[in-house]
Amino acid sequence: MTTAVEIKDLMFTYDDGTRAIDNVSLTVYKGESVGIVGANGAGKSTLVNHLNGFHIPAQGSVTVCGCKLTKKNQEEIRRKAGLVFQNADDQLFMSRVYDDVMFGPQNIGIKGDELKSLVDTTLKDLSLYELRDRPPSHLSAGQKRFVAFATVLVMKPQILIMDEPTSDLDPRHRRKLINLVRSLDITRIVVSHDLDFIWEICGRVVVLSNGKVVADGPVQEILTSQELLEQNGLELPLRLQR
Amino acid sequence: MHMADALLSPAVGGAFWLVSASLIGYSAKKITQENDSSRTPLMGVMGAFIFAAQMINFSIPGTGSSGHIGGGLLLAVLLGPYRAFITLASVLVIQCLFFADGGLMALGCNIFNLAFFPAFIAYPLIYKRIAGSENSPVRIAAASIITAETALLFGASSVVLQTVISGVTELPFKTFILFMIPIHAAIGLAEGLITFGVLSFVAKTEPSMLVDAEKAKLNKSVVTVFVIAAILTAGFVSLFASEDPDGLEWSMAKVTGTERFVSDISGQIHLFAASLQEKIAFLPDYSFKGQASVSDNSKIQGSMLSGTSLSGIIGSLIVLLITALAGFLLRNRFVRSQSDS
Amino acid sequence: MSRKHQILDYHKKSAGAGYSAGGSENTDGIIVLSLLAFILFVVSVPKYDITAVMIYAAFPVFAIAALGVPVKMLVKWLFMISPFIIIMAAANPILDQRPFTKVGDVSISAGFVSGIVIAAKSIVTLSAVITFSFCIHFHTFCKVLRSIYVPEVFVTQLLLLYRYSFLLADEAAGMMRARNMRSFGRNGKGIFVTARLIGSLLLRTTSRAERIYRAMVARGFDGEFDRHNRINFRVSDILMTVLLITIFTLIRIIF
Repeated sequence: MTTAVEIKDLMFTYDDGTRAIDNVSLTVYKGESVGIVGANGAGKSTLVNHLNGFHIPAQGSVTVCGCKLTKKNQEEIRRKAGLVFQNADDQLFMSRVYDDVMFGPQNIGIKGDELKSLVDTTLKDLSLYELRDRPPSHLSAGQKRFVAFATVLVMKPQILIMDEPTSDLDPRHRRKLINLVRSLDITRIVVSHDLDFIWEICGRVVVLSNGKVVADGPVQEILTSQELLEQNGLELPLRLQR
Repeated sequence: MHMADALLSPAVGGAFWLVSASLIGYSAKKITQENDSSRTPLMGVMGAFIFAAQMINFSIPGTGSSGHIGGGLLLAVLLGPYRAFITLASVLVIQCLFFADGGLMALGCNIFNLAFFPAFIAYPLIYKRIAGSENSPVRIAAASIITAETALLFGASSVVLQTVISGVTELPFKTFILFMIPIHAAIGLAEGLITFGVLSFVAKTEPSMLVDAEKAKLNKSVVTVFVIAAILTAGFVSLFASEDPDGLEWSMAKVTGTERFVSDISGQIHLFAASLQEKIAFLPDYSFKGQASVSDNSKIQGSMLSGTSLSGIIGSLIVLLITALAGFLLRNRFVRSQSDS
Repeated sequence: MSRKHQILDYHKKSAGAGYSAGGSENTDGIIVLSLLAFILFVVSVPKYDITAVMIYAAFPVFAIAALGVPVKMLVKWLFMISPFIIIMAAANPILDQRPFTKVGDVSISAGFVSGIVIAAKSIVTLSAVITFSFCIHFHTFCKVLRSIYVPEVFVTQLLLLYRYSFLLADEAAGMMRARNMRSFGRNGKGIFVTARLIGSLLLRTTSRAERIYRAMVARGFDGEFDRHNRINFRVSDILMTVLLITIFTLIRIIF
């Protein structure tokens, strides 16, 4: 099995001294769908921000698709791993949906008809084609979330990372998102509090607490273990609660 | 303090458009040279921030009214002169286009009055000198107030000068300036206080933001050149291309037969300018109705009267009604074609 | 809701998003370029000439009627014109009492006429600008600017500013609501409390700027948006613009 992501003995401390990641080692294989859960402040977002090259490991190493993350190859890493932000408004910064989706591939160097057909196909696949001329500020939260996905997927990454993707979605958009993610043939890493979402999307779950990995196993095992979840600031998924 | 188109003559408006456009070009060049792309989104959202912050108002003790922050000084402190100028200019453009805060013709003047003074004059010359590099609250307060006052008073005087040179309104210079100065002095005080308030809040919670914002050194001589250029262009162009601001006097003088207007210097200048203008002007100031020269006062009189004759007005009203009707009938076609596209 | 917030809200809900009155980018470009010329012509109408102003008014009137811009809202906005203009226009009749003409037995002063002309010019130019903002998609407007060689830094700035204005305006409105809920009379709305509100908005804004920068860099941002994204103006576009300007000139000459 090929390795998609390999994190070894990673340490990360913020400027104010808080230890956010405390000796984390984790391997994700190609094609896997892994959920990362934990209480607020457990270090989940900080961890995935390494995978997208935003944080450089001070101690330990992060390897994405065979490429070890250093200051020099951040751009290369970003092309391999696409991150959908927690806040779609931070990710959509152009004045038109079409321009936002076009932004990434254009910067890679794709132009002309190839660019146009790439953008059009991505928009149509996500049923966003009718919204292509709208300014993002004129979209609903659900629509923005899907456009944010489009901006990442259009770059054809090898790994898709999602940070709290369902946090502001109504039930219908949430269901559409679940269907979308399921339909993608790609390695997936999801950070979420929505344990029911993780249940439906992921095969494996990693539990973080205070910057450490406290559990790592199949979804059915971890998310049914009430004691484990409650010890780490979580609860059973709603579907399992009586 | 935003200027309106209707009070401005095209010459003054055009002159300041040129000045502001070159300031924008110059600042853009300096910013590109800095090569710091991380500040690009910062400038964008700071512009949006100023916009939004202006909606939050505070009550002014003693009066029943409320005020809001202008933001020029704050931007200058946080972004440095060039970026602050570009940001402020962009906010003024949006305000002009979407909210009609100030006219499109007057945009050049507004950018000069409201963005140039805080960013290029008040902040570098006054604020930095008084505030120094330590974060002592007293110094920052004093610096904020004095700088805000300076920027606002400069801006206000600029507005007065631009309006008076334009000659559209009858308000005399003295009255106007006596009206503007005290009001803007009060506004300046409020602006200084609230800027100080924001800066001290930031100093307490996130002091790293206040580290010296600008990397490029402000070229003071360039700034001086701009100021002088603005004044010269506005005055000179205005004089040169000035339409006779008061054709009424001429026509009346002609009618009464007095030569008084020619003997007075400004009258002579106007006469000279008007005849020169006829020769070089791309657009004649007065409608022709079949007569040859501009200096024919009775023609002026005639055109003015026809411009305001009753038949003329009624005719125009009819034209307007027909146009409105035509637009209304075509509306469905417009709306339909939008939904098809 | 403040007036500005109302206007922004209207823009969000209206067809203004994604609109293109011209139907194509090139026509939109012509509209942009002629707007400035239009305003120049209106403003340069002589001091006492009301007829010319009225004829020029036909252009915005047509646009408003054809595009269905809500007239009530437009009138409300025009009434909120900076008191400045109203004072200036009203000053004229007082300051210039020279008799101009007579309607029946009533003598009308020159100042009155010039005051009306100022007011009329204001209404026409401001309506033209506001209507324009409903005609053209903002990103097309910026594309036109880029095509006439406005500095890239400035165009990028306008695009980002537009994009985030709505968001920040909503945030500011939320803060005001929260503050007003806990204020009584003048208490709670003083300068220094407001300064703190603005300060927290500022801090949120700068963190947001950082995240946006990350999003940009993650997709390959190198300092500017696509500088080659320009409109190719054809000869026919230039001819259209010249035609429009000729019409404006003819109006001045005839009326």
